[in-house]
Amino acid sequence: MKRLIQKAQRGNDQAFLKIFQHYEADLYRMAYVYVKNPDDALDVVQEVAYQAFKKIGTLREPQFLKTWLMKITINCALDVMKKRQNVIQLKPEFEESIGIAETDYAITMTLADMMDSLHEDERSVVVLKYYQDYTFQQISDLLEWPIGTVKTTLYRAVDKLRREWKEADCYGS
Amino acid sequence: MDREMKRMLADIEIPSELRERSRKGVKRAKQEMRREPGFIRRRLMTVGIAAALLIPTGAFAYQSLLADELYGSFDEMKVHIVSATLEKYLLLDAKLNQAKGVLGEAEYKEFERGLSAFTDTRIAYGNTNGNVDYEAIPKAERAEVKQALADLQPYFDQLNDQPAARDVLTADEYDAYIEALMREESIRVRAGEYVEDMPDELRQSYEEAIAIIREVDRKQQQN
Repeated sequence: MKRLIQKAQRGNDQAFLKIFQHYEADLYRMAYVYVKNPDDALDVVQEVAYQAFKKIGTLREPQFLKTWLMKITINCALDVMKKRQNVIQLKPEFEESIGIAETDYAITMTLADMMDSLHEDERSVVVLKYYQDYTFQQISDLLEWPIGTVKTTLYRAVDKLRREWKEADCYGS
Repeated sequence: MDREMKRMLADIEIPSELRERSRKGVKRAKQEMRREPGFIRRRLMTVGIAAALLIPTGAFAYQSLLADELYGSFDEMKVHIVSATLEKYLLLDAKLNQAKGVLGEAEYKEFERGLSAFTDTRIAYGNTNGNVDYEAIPKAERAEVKQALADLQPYFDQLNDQPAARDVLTADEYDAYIEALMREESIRVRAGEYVEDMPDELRQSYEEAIAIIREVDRKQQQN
């Protein structure tokens, strides 16, 4: 991997692609947590591939490659969300009537619903901690927050999710 | 909690076009990077010339290549430059042909003369990649190759379609730039191609050299 990164830093696109494809599924899922639909998540990954290859020469510590890609992904996903706020959304009933929503979103409805109750910052911390297995220190480095803020944000998010789960359990059973 | 989280995220289906989208992103970046003749391209130019100490094999020995005029006999090259390949040789020849077209006959002769002095040192002192540790060669030769490199750089810049470093820098800055190019190569000979494997002291010196080269590159792009 080290050698591939060195090659990529010298402008070798095939080497970069090999590295990137190793992480692309994780990056896609990370993006999905934010944008909550496959089309936007794919756009995010494409943008991350573009930005990361252009900037890989600036990556000083190859062991932080994944963290670095995650950071770009979070930023791109937030950009997409910002842009989306400026666009008038289709109403859910309309989406259903033209047949887009159901098949694509069904599997992840539970997750999307629950993550909906979290603020963007809380979402990042939850995914990084529980899905990517990052330590508090790593999350603090990645998001450039004090470690105390990372911890309180996570506890707050976990608390919210627990309440959501309880409610979901009540309705589900 | 983390098991639930992992399961839920793992349930997010990966679309079949994901791979293609990654490829598209990289492709776009590559196209843009090609249009920006920057650090990497210039590096390829110099490395290309360095690596092209060369191997015309029997099949090509009958062809008259511009590169042949520069690099003498195949046998001698092969003794010195283990990593040279026919592909790199032909690539160099293509670059020299391009150079001839861009520079014109008279300028090309000058360019070729400089390149010849430059490569003589590489043949004599280069490692298996054709790179030279300039700190390990006689002082007179070092001065000579430094002068050749300083004279060649404007041609490289012209071929890369960017303003000459010599024109955008003061004399002292240009001297520091040429030194940085030589230092960067010397350290790679001494400590290998991979930054993270370098001893701390050399790595620091290497990174300083790279910083100078990148700064010059930035200035060239601004002009």
